[in-house]
Amino acid sequence: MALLQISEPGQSTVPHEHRLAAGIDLGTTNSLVASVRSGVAETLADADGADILPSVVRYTGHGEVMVGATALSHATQDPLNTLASVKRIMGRSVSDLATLQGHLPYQFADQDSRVPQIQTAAGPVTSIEVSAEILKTLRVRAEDSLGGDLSGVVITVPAYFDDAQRQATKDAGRLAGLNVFRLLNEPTAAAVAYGLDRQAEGVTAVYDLGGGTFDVSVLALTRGVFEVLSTGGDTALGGDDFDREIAAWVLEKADLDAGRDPQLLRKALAEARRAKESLTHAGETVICLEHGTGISKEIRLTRDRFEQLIWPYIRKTIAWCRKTLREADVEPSQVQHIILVGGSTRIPCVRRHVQEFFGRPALSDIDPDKVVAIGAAQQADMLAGNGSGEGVLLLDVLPLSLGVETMGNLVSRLIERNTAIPVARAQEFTTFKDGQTAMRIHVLQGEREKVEDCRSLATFDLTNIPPMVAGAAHIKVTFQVDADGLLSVSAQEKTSGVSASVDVKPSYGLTDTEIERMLKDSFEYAEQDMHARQLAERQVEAKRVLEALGSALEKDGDDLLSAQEREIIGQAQAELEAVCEGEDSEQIKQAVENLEHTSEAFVARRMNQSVRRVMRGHRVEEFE
Amino acid sequence: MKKTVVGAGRASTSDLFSDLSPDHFYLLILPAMDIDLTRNYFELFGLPEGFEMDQEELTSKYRAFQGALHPDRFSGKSSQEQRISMQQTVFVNEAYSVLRSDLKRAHYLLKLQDLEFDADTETSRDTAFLMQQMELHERVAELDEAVEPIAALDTLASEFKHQQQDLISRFSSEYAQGHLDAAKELALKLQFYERLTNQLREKQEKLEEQLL
Repeated sequence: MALLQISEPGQSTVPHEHRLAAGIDLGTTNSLVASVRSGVAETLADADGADILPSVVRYTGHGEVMVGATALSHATQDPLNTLASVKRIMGRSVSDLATLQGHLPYQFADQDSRVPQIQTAAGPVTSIEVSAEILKTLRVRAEDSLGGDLSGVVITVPAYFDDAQRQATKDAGRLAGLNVFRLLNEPTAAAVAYGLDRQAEGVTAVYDLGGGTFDVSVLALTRGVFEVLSTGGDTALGGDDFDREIAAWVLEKADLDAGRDPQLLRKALAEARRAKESLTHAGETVICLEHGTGISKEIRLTRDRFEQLIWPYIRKTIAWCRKTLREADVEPSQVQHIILVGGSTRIPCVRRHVQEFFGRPALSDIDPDKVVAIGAAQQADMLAGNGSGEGVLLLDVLPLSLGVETMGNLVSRLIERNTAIPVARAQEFTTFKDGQTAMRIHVLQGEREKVEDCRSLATFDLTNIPPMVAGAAHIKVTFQVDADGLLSVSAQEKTSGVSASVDVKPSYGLTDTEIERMLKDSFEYAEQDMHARQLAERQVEAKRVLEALGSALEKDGDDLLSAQEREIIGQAQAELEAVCEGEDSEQIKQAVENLEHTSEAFVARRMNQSVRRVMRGHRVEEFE
Repeated sequence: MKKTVVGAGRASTSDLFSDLSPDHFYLLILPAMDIDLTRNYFELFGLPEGFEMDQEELTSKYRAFQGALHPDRFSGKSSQEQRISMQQTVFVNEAYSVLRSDLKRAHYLLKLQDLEFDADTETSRDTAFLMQQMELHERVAELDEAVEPIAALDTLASEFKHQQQDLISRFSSEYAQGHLDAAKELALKLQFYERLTNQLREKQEKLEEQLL
């Protein structure tokens, strides 16, 4: 395993063992896991041969947790303890629930926690914990069918997920004991699956209508590079809305009120869903509602009527397509491929309207339920270093603008939406009063001008600012968004050089301490296990660093380092070698950090060398 | 602890990388180049410093950079390599976003000539132009009363685009001839069209939303 495995084109890297990796599509209604086996990405089935895991978790009073189809079968009979569609509340605050509550038949616990908690027979749970149960089930499935521990996973998220929703998803992964290589946008994952398997090239639009979310992304596909040009969508629009629309219509027709009857509502929703699915092929269907003691009503639903009911939603998705194309500066006629993703794109009128808008037939030959998981598996395999994806590169964008609160309750935008990530922007702030030593920065995400119309992500308290007259301090705050689309913030006072301390208070979402506690609480990670696991991980990491640096030094050490520089690195190497087999995990960590620190310049120079090589190679190609 | 509402300053990227050691910068230098030039995006991409831009060449170089530097290439590597890769990618992304946009590139060229301006406070003094701008703003405001607002908006948008294009080609020629003050004046004027276009876009989105 060499440090900086950048190799010349056509020259393969050192062969190494195949590392197990998986892609997980954590959906609103259904979830899937896929992996690349013998070069082919495929979804993994459970013991009963089912690929799809319904995203449903049931908590019983006896501490039992059921996930998937078994949980789903209790949905009607035990509606309050059987949780479905929790993706809708991922990263949402207690106050957001007011708007969603009518759509979710759960009881929320009253508490001051930032993260909404759902009341169940097993006590209050958050959407993050519920999602972690789904992820755990998929992890076990993958490890059973692949025959070993996963080195890491890629979890997909709607492209239009904001920072809080992404963070919540990543936290759920951690809670499930997964190493999350990357969060990948669902439409990008689908484009990867088509791009790699079908070798699609050119401007591609991905229309992804799932159970609870809608996304559209415009990408440029060129020789293995998947460059997202723009993305748009609605994280609360999907097939569930169609079910609810039908259920409301049917209940009205049957003259029934489900307001105080969660069982009837669940039944109506289940029937609506069945009706929706049968209308994919049939021209009409009959919905049968049982209520009270054996009385039942039958209502006929035609495809025309159904299409009328869902048209307002489809119209919204088409408006998003128009807007997203405009952001990418692309005309509908310039789009060469349209990819349909998500179960709801099976509905004939959805397909019809999308094809009409783009004026060409859409691709859907990869199962729209599986395509996202397949693309994610391909990226996971690449990131695990299994060499399958050499030359493949995914370049994504920030879906929603980031800004800070300024005077007058307004948002000043720092990073515009559809900016390529990773990205960093610095903004300078100054003090408002003489001698002011602290200030608070409120970070928001969204496109609207007013603070209350945007999503509050966090507040940062900058403290320890040296006292100066008003306006004299220059505090440079750097906002950085990584390849997962996640934000981090750092701050420094420029005139004094003091770095102001940043205290992050997420508006909602879990803090690191809360996650650690949850991990500890879970019996799988009893404290002793945690320590043993941590020690083992650090020993492996230490060996990896030593090995990688060793081979890099052998190759380039003479060219890139002075004798003195090399000696300093040698000392740090020896120190790490001395402690890396020991039991003191903190000592190993420090020695690794020290070695990384001393070899930083060397690593940087090697990277520079490889970039030069790439640019030179590029030029040669250009002039040939 | 005292807290106040904070007034925002101006966003800048120029000094984003000032925390990095020279070695970080060294990464982005092509052979036989002076270290200070790393801040020059044209040098970074190995493209001639000027307004005319070969977009295809720019894009293909951008992709080559990303292919070598993107964080996905450093998954499973040391946290140090990941951090450096991240900083590099951020820098390349920033440079690319400036070079590919006509307006940003024009500003950047002026900045390299120490003619940077604050778009919020500095403006064109050409009265005829300003009168014309007022007229255009009125026409944007009147769009709501149009019989076919979307069609009227499309007409106006293509008119703006035309005028903007004219300013851009004039900028290009003035800059190429070394008439920097004239070029700056044109950049100031372009700023107006940027604002008009944004207004138009917002209006368009609002109109489309009303149709839903």
